[in-house]
Amino acid sequence: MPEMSSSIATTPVFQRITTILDEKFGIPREDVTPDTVLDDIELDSLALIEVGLALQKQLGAQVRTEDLSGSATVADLYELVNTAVGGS
Amino acid sequence: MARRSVARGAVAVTGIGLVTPAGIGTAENWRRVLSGVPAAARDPELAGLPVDIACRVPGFDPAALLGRSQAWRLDRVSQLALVAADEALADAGLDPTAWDGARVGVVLGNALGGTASYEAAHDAVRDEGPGGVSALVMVNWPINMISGYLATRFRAGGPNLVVATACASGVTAVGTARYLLRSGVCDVVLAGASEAPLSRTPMAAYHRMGALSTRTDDPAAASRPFDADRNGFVAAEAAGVLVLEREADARARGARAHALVTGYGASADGHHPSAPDPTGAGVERALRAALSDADLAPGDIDHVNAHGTSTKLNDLMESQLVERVLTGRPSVTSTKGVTGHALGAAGAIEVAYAALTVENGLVPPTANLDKPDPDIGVDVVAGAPRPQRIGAATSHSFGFGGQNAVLVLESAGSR
Repeated sequence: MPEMSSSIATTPVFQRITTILDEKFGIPREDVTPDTVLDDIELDSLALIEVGLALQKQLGAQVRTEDLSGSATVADLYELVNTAVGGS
Repeated sequence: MARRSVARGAVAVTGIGLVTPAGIGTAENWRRVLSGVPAAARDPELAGLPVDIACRVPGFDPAALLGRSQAWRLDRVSQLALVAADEALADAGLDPTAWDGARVGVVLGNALGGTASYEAAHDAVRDEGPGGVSALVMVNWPINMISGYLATRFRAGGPNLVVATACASGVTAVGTARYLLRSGVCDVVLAGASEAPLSRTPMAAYHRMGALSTRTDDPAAASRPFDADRNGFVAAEAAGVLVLEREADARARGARAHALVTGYGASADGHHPSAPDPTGAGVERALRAALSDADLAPGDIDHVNAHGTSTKLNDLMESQLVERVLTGRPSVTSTKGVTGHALGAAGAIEVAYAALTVENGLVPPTANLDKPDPDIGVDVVAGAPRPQRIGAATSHSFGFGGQNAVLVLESAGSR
């Protein structure tokens, strides 16, 4: 898993996620790695809907963050977004 | 006096936090209201409305004051309250990480809720459809959320509520908090109010009903309580939070009391949705009830922090009330000349100013009182602060809906 995590960290989609989290949600980039648990950066279920809405507005694709569990990581969020924008 | 205050369970104001158009922080607020320099200005966010003047909190940066997370999660109405509460607790010397939160209550006043959150949601539904609506609207728009956020931040697990009596809400909150302390339900109550009304919908609506001053060409002169040329109020955002404790408890822990809250009275006009009853019968009931609660005679009141909104009807009715009931010819001030009218929060910040007035023996002047209304015969302080030794003062708040609330404050040192 570490290999996969480090490999996604450099992708444009991951960068897009960290940029939105930093600029719109006040979560500094340096606090966000693929293994970061969403709860640990105070992204509860309501906040995740906001994140999904912001990503949706930027990417033009529907991101259903409602399906993420409390223990989900940023990598899980990345997978959702990546699927939504038609990535592999 | 001492025996009476203790026996009747006086409540001490041991902490004050203020976030108002007069500044962020109690010291800055006190300097500004003593200066008599009005805060009203043209407001870029209200551009294009018939009335585009208002009183905003200067330099309010929620990310810097509360952290970046709270800056996007919370409506401004809760942000203002949290910053005020932080200051009030520090002033009281209380540490929320160390207290028994089950004994700590929160009672705040508010009139309009999270107006910016509501407006953003409305716009999103209209422009983007229901899928564009923030999931946080229902934890920001409803008025109860303000005290809920204080409970979360300070681990305050006792009774928690927001009271709504329009522009009397702040005084109603302090009066209600006093009940919780006197009944023994709580040991500490964070009491006060917050309002963030400077959104386009409420501002357009207040203008439509004729409540706002239309002196848009000269904003600084627009809020002029008791002046002959007053023509309406200037809306303001603000929060004021007090830490209240039973006087005996405060004394036992060596806390400094700014003042004591010794009486509370409330009433309804039952007259009209927005206009005060010109006979003043309703407000007189509230005032007499507060005096009775404090066990004071009408002539014992030395000072009044008036509702003094700068509307034609209120200021005349209120001055007649003071002349008719308070026979000791008290000094009168309306700090709204400086701050504007913070609606549901007005009562809270004015109780704080009244406490500081009693504590410091200095009455802030009523700004813009250039030409006193000849029909107003009370002793309104204007021009400069007036030194005065004050044993007892009242703070008045009257709301749309005919809801009235009056508090009596007494000097902590005069007993």
